[in-house]
Amino acid sequence: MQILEDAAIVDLYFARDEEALKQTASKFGAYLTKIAFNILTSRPDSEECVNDTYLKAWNVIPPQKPVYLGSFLSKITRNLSIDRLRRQMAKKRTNAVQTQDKDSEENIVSIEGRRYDLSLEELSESIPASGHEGSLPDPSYEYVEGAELGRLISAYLRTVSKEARLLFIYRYFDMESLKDSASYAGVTEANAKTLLYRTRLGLKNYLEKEGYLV
Amino acid sequence: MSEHDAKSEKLLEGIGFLDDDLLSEAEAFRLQPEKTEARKNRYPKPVRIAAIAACAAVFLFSVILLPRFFLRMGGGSSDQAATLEMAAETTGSAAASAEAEAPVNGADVGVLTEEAATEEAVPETAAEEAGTAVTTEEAAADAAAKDAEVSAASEEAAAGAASNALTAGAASDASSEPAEGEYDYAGFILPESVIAVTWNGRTYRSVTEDEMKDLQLPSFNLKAPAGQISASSSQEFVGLYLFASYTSNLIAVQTTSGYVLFIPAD
Repeated sequence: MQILEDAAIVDLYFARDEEALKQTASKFGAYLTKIAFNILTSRPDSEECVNDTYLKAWNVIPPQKPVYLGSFLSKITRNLSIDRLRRQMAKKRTNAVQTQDKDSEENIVSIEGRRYDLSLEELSESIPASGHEGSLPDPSYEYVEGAELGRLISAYLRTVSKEARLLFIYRYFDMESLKDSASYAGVTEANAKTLLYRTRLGLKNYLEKEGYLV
Repeated sequence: MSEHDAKSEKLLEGIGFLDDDLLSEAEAFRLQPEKTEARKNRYPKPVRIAAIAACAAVFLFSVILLPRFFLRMGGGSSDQAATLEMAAETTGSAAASAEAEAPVNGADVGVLTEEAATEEAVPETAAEEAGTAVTTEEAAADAAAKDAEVSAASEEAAAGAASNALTAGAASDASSEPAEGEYDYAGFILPESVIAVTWNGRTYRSVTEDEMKDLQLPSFNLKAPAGQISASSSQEFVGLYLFASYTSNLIAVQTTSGYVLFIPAD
């Protein structure tokens, strides 16, 4: 099967041609499955998420007309996977609390959401602070989240080196392991660790400087 | 979930809204097979070449020049000392195994060592006589006077030792061609008065200043030490060294003040 360009695939969506789904699966299936698996660490769950991605893409194109189809689909997959993971974790947490089995709860969370949790832990270094610890936030600061926060992070990432930017995206968008992120970005693991640390601190400083809180 | 975790999750969510072009760039780069090339090409080619050249220069400096430098610092006579020591070892080991019937040619470059003479079963008392085979004229006269007292056997032994040593010296010379430019006339001193030494039954005298100027030999290399000559000399000789010139009978004797050049007296 000949793989079409992104624009041609989008045209197929607009034409309501089911070939669009086959083309999407051929071109982006592996990538989307990897993102879902990085978050969910479960093959069936990730495949289900990818299928949900195709369905959602079918429903939103048109009216939306993405220029970068891969990025558009990966965002959908990522969001769906995170939502699914949160649901699973909440459900298991509830079950664990009901059975008073705290150990099993920790195991469930640490195994199934390991990479996700690691990302959360690392990103906690990027949380902007306002004023002294324990005090009320500075009223001049503005809370930001969602798309606006995404815009700010994008603006910040444009100020850092290409390697740092790629690493950040591989690590916190694609949820890749540190080793894979370093490999994809073409740097050593030690270098990747350092670059990521500096980027996280830089993001924190950037948000604080811009007067935003999350 | 703590407030901290909630904020981290918000950040993670925010990352989900990154601009499409950034994500597209990352995705495109992920699929590039030549990551190492990209890393290699981080610096311009001239900078890389300069860096490699600098590393090579440092390597060469450390491997070649530093040992020479330290030898000079520590050894005093440096390369020549090392060369002579090596030659002495070669001569010593070769002398032990050299055939006695090997021909002795006066023109051959050879060496007589006191050690060789004593090692060749010369009695201790006779060894001193053997050692004075090369000495000053004055010492030679003394030795001649004492020769009557010394047994013929010991003389033969000394001669045999000399023969062996000469053979060994010749063998050593044949195996290692002299390096040129190790020493030149500027390295020699002229004694205040003409002095003479005898070596291998032949008398040599020190060259005069005029002769020194007239000598047109190419640069030469001191080959092998002849060991301590004798303390009985008025000049305090340290050792005897022969030129690597196969066509000349010139010899050089090391004194405490420098090397003295000798030519055959006859």
